[in-house]
Amino acid sequence: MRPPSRLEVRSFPSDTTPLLVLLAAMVLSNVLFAAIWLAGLDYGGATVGNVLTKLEIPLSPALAGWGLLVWWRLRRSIPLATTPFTEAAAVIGRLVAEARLKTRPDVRLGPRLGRRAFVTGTPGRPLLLMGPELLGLCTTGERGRVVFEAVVRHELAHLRAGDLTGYQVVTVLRATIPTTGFFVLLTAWLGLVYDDASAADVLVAAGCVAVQALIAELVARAYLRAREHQADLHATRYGDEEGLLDAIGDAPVARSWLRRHPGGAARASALADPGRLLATAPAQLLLGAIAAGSALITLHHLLVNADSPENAAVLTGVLVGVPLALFAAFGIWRATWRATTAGERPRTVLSAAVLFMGLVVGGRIALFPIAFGGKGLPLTWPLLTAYAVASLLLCLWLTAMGRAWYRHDPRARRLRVFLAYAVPATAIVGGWTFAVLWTWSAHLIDDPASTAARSTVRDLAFGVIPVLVVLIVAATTAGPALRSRVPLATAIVGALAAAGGLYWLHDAVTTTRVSTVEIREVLTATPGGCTPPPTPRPAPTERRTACAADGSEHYDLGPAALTTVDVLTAAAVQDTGSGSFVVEVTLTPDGATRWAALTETLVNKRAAIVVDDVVESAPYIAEPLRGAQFQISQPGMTSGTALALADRITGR
Amino acid sequence: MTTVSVHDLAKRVVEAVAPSELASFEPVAAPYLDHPARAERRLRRGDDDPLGFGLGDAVEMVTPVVALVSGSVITALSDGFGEAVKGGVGKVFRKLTKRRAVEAPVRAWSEDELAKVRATALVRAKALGVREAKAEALADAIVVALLLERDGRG
Repeated sequence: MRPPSRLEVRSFPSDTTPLLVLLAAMVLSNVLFAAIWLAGLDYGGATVGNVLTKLEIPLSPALAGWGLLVWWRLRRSIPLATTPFTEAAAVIGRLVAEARLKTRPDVRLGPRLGRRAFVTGTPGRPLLLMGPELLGLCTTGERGRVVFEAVVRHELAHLRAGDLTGYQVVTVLRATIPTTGFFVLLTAWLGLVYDDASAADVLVAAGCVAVQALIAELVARAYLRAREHQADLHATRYGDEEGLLDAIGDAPVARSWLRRHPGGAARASALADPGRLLATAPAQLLLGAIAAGSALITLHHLLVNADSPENAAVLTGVLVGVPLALFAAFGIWRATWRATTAGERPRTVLSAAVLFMGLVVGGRIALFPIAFGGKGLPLTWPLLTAYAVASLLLCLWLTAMGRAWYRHDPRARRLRVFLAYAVPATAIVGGWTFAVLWTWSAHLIDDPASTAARSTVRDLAFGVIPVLVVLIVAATTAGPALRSRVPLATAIVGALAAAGGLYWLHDAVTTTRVSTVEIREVLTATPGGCTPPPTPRPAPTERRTACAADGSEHYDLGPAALTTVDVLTAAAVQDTGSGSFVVEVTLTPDGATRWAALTETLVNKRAAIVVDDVVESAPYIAEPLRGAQFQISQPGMTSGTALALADRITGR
Repeated sequence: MTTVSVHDLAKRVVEAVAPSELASFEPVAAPYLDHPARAERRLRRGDDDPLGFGLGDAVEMVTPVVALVSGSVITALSDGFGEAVKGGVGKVFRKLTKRRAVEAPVRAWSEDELAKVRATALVRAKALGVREAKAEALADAIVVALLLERDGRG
């Protein structure tokens, strides 16, 4: 009988689940990109229905491949009940009943499987395939019977834990990469033949496909190895450990990171000390970070076409940042408990370095943006430093949070309480961190010279959410230590008071600057520079002069028909037709009525949109415009300049 | 002329060295008797199936090794232990295609020939990863099985 483990290993959240989520984010964003590209080639363009139809193209070969594999295995096996292994069939029947599975597996003999055994099929129709040598062990004596039962229990543990579903998902995900890779290489090849792409571009695209395929394969194998350990632990919980140890042997294996099973020596030590399984390998953290880096780039390019650049950047950062932060957190907490129990120091700095490295590498291997001439993660020193510092701070905080709870719960008996607050806290802090970082990165990708990045990052980094983040970091780090000394009610009142104080402070030091917006009739427009400079701002009811933003014209303007109060909001958006950026202004209902009346009187004349005494646009009105929105466009307007103008109009 | 097949020889040896495996002899030995080269490759490759078990080397059945060793012994007997290939085109073709004989004529083997049979079985068993003592026992069992075939007993 094995002595009880000091640590409740089963209490810890699995770090392979968020790893699969990150892999799915990388692969499915590629699939979506391919579907949108294919739908765009169709008559009717990339409509939602068209894109959904095209999703079948990259996904169906993977699903069909899985189906064919199951069919092939079924074809090459026979039901165990029809074979001479009657005693083995009876033993398996008993063990299946003991396992209390939701769906009983179809147990079959694979005549050529030798001593192998595995589960396959679909979650709705699981198959347990066994070779004749293994089934024969059942009748070769006591030792053979014990080994046989250990193997069957191990396989049933896979079914009970739902590993078949996980494996099916991971197999379809990795099988999708060659299909999407094909479209990437096709695009690169067409670029080489008909466009100005070079052979190096094709090679880079091929390299990115190969690296993503390798990442997916390594993630799949890491997942399988983790599940094997869990199945071993489950098998020993309900059966004879000696039989299992006999079956797995004690031989170490070379290149264990490439195998689907851990070596016999590693499995035996994990059975003797299950706490070893908590030590997440840095390579696993690297895989997750690379997948996240690639998903950030691809997802951003997808979302930026569907929404305004700033919303796309924030959404991308949150969508990828939350699972990445949770993945890092689970790995770090597991490692913290393991290392502290063993009297070692957690490898926090190494984790941070690996996280940073993975994000940078992943940001350079995204498939579709690179194939379509897009850019990867900008490699500028300030940005890279920000990523490195953020990774380090995040890992330090996660470690500190884990260690703070460890002091009160070293055996992880009450880990649920810890996870109940630590997981949401990590999601908020991680989501915010990556939203800020990615907003900065996205601005540099879209327009390296833009100064709007600074203002957007400033908004994200010095708003209400950062106050909340600081409070969360402080509370989760110091909370467990203070819990025994400060009554809960006092802590809550103190936290609320601190939050109120910080919010008041933030409100006091940040001043809201609202620009003046006016829409006036252009009475005369004179080419040339603005001399003399515009007169001081007159009342909206008076006529005035003003200059074009680029100084090419100056205008004599009529009284203002619409003013700041008529503007509801403004946002930078990308024009779906031309691909250029514009500022979309949304008016209040009253403003929309006045706008319709103004454009009706100005048909074949010009209207000037004046922001802070400067004419940002003076379009000709060809026909009356009805609706609550209009766009401001300027030659050469980038996402950065559009965002800056939108911010000025809305007063941010 | 009376002959001894790989199947019969292997079964007789299993009966002698691992009688508990006799019940499952047919399905277990079938791949090693039908396609020995392919089955041996699979045996050496090890088990790394997704959601499989990854069975170690500690526990193995004797039948696969016996079937492979018996195949080698029968081939050696059929070919006269690597001496000049005589006796027809079929044997030459088999040698060229590296296929194994499935049966050998039963006759009064000399002591020298039986010693060669034992040595062949020993080398082959050890090459398949069988430990020295077990390989010796297996080689002895093969010689005894051949003698029993010669004497028409069993």
